[in-house]
Amino acid sequence: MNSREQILGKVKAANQKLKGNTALPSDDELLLARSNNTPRSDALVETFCTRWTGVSGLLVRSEEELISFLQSQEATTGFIDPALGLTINKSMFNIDSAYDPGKVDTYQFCITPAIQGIAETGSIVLNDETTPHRLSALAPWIHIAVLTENSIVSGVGDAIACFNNDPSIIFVTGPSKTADIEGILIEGVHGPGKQVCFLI
Amino acid sequence: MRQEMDQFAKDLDRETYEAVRSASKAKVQQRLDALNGDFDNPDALRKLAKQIKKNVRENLGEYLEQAEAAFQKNGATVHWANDSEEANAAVLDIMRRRGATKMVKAKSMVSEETELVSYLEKYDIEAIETDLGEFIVQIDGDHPSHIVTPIIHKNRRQVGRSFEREGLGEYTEDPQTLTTIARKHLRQKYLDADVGFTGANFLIAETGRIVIVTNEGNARFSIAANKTHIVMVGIEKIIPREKDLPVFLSLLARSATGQALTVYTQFISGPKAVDQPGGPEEMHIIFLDNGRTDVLASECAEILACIRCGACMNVCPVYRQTSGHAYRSIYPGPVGAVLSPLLDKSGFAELADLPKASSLCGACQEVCPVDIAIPDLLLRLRNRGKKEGAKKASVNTPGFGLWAMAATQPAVWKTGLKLGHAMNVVPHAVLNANPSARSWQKTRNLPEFKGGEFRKWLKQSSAQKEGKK
Repeated sequence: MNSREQILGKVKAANQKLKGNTALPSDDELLLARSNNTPRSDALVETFCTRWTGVSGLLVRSEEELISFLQSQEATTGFIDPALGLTINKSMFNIDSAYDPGKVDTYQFCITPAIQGIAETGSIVLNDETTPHRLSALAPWIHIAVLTENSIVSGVGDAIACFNNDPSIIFVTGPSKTADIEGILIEGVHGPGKQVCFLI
Repeated sequence: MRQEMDQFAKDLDRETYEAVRSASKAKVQQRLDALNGDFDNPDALRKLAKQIKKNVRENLGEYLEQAEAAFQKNGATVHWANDSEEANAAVLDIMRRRGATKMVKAKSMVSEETELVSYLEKYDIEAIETDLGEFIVQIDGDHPSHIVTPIIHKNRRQVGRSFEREGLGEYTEDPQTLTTIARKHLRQKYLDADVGFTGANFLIAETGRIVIVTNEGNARFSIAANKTHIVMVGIEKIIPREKDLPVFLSLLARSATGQALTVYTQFISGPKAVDQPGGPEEMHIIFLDNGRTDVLASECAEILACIRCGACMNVCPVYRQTSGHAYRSIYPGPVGAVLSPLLDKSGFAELADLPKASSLCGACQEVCPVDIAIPDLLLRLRNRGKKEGAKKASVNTPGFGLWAMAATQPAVWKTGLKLGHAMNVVPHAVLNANPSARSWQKTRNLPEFKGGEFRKWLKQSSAQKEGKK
């Protein structure tokens, strides 16, 4: 008997002993998981913006705002996913349109798409298919996720219901952080220290 | 002689005691604010989570088979490990086949159970902890004292001294600067490594996804920067369907840190997408037993519902007084008091004193997101300790044999009552000859014996009634 058979054998014997018939919850009962922060469909964008900034997410609504922000951070070297079709003035910045992993610590900012926003928690959703390189959304100090208003869903449950077979779906809820040292909150650990959502 | 945990609490230095207490208090309040602020009826949600986990325990075999099939369909390889040796050997084997010598790992309590890092180091493999707290524990040769916040027992000055000692930078005790130093140092480790290792908070049986819940980005980086991803996960971490997940996601971070969601919630079903240049070409998942099947078959199966949030230890008065290291095991606090003696390789007796380190106040059950009846389980384990004659379970406990005899033989009881009055003139020093009596009287005053009055009264009043007839 190999390990798999041994473990399953013991588990199933224990299952027999438990002899239970506890049901799984119905869809109605599962609605309990929706917090009071879950908005109705007419308040999605507003709620998303409030929640996003509430978790220290930064919000820009136009390319002008985006450029101002980058200038305020003195960030000039970056990567922008060409699929986004942004018209940022290339002469002001030093921009690659193909992500070079060899420059992982040279890029001060990267701009890549988010596929969804979650209003309930102020989260954006990234995946493998639409992220040019996993490190482009993770490694730079400043990451800008481009999100369209009509991809914002109400709650966590709605986002999960949309899952396809992308192997790496990520809910991002603000900049990376830790409170390991004396419970003091520090932003910018291994992931971005400035997490921006460019909402269009 | 004292209970080991009593002695530990007595010897605990003030700095550590203060650090643990203040951090625990803060966490308890954060949890309350998050749950009561965001839900009208958080208890109904906890009961729902409890129900789902009960269904999981009753059908675990089928769910594990379903999960395995789904992961395989998604292109991941599933391994099964009976115990630590098999699990660690599986990791080593995968690394060897991939020609890998360097690992970066995210926080994983099961890997602490199996002592993966020290095993790999014996084979000249570098395995670096990337969670900031675990990294500090690693460079200090220390052990985590809490399952969510591993260095709750340290302060910033200690961390600063450790970083300086390791040559990571000039001494600083500013948490922001310390974190920046760690970011730079670990960034290079991620990029130089060959393998990323993580645990999993949940395993979704229906679709073959693991869920990893973090704040730092270290799990993302460990995986994204490497060509092989190895996961080790306890078999009890199963969630049946994707739609059950929001119940647990809404409870986990709120219970652990007062957040609605942690910064990164990752849903991973296999190696990287074909057109994705970054990330693992191979994903391996090790389903770990390591004593869990025995727990499932025991009277304490309910402890397997635990989702490792840490809320129970934050609220536990015993944990706060003693700190996590007092529990002499990977899992401290109330969950550890049940789980650790059950999982201990050397047998139940080794940690049989842990279930006794409790006043059964029940605070742990009240905050548990899956409503585990921890006090009930502690009582069952106390009973087991007594039945098996586990020495550690009976330190300073008086033998109840004499009392049992007196309570079942009225003549002996009556004699005892008469002798009781004599106790009032016996010097306490004589009573203290018995170690459990001595320990009991350290913090209590023996009251004056006033027994036998009711029987006397009953006799007299019955006689009077008889007389009146």
